[in-house]
Amino acid sequence: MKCPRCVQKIHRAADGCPHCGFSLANVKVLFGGAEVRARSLTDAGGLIRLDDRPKVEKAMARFNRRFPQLFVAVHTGSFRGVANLRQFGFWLLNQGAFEDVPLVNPNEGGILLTIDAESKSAGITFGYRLDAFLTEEDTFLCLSRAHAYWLEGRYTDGIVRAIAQLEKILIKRSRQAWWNPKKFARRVAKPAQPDAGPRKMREGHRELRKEAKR
Amino acid sequence: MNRWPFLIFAALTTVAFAQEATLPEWDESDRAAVRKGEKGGFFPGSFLLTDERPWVQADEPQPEPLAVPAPTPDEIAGDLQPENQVPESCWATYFAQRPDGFLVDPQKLLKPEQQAARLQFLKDHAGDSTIDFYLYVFDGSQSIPGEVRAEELIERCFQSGRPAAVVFYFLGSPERTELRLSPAIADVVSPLEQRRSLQSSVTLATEKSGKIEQLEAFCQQMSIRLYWVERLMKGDPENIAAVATPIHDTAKTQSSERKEKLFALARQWGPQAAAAAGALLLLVSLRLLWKAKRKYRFPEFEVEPRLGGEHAAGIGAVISFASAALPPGGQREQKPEYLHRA
Repeated sequence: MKCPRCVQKIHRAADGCPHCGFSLANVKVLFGGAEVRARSLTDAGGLIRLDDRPKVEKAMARFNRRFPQLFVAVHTGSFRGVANLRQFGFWLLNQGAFEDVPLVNPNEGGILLTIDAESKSAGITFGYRLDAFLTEEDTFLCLSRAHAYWLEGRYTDGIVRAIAQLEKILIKRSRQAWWNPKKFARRVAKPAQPDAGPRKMREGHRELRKEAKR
Repeated sequence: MNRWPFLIFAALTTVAFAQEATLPEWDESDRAAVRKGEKGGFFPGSFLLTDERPWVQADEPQPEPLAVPAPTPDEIAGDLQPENQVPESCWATYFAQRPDGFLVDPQKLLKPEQQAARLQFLKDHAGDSTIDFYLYVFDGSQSIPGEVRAEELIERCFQSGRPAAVVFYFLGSPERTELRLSPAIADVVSPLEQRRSLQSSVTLATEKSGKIEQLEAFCQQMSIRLYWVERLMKGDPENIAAVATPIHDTAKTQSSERKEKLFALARQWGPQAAAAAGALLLLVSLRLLWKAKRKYRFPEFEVEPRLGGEHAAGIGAVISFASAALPPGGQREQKPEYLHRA
């Protein structure tokens, strides 16, 4: 888990980045504090040709059908820098309301692929539901698969390829989670409090004394 | 370099020496003296100078020629006849009329039990086929009398009645076998096909070692070939192709046996194999369909929100595709932008 601004590792339940102090409040200043309405496929950057839109929509629909708890969204635009790309993804998934996504699918299950037409970079942001199942390495693999296409300006093919790779990874994770859910539960378990150990010991002793009195 | 002067010189020298090297000539008086031995006595090669052999005495008695009587006409005729001809006593049985049985062996070359077996086989063949199979058995070293012409025999004896195939089989020498078809069949089956049928049967017979085994193999194959001839007579083009199969040789026979075995296996296990393959295909198709339609779910865990985000704080990778010089591998380590600028 990393900070979208300084890309330093942060604590599982950190309210703010301990390195740069980043939080949602900071990003609201950048992109707006009000909730925004958006569609899951928004091509503000004009990278996807009109003829190619169905291809992307088909790939997205396929993903959404296979993973009923999740949805994938694609947003292209101009974000003026890589740092802003990460922050924008973080902001949109928290402030955005995707009109064409069923209400049963909250943004916790969203995976947002953002492409910056200006800096020619792309990033992936995902909701809390995928915290246990998706890693930064996985998202890097998806983007790597699309890299060659994007390098040639074939944005549609790149997006489709990235979504397909994402499907592949999540299918694998779903199977693994079905066999061994505890392994994934541990990844997102609540962090232990600093004094939890001694307190537990004390309470345990108290419980034992109570039982002895009985 | 000019060679002509040397060549001319060499030619002239040769001519000059050739003219000089003339052979010596005898003086007649010297020759007479040498013949009489008056001059020089004996010397090597002297007999070459004489016209007669010196050691032959004129008064030596000459042997008289032997008085050998000239061969009689009967002897000359006897030399022309083969040594081992079919005995004349059997000619009538062999060649006089259409035989009563399918096996013709007046010389008793086959043992009774062998005769019975062959006869039974030929009868069975006649029961199954419209073409009768007449087997004339001769000894391997015997020859058919010159007076008998097979064509005439067939015309005379097998013109009417059921179509027949007449085989002159020489025990132990299957390669000498002759096949004649009755006119009804011979008109339909070309000589080439007849020869093929015969050669096919002979080939199979020669693969066996014993005389009787050869005869059995021959009869079996000939019976099969006659069956196809029968089909050919009915005018089925498919059967014509079957009859027109190339002449058997050992390798081809083996390969056809192998094929037959394969076909038999295919007939035996084909339906089961096809059913298994179909079931497998169906299973694979169903699995593919199931995979395409399958929905994948994840267990839901309670996650503490971070950085103030209510719904999401999963920050994935960012990749730049601005330049081909910067491949994905070089971007694996994600760094903040200010570090990039530094």
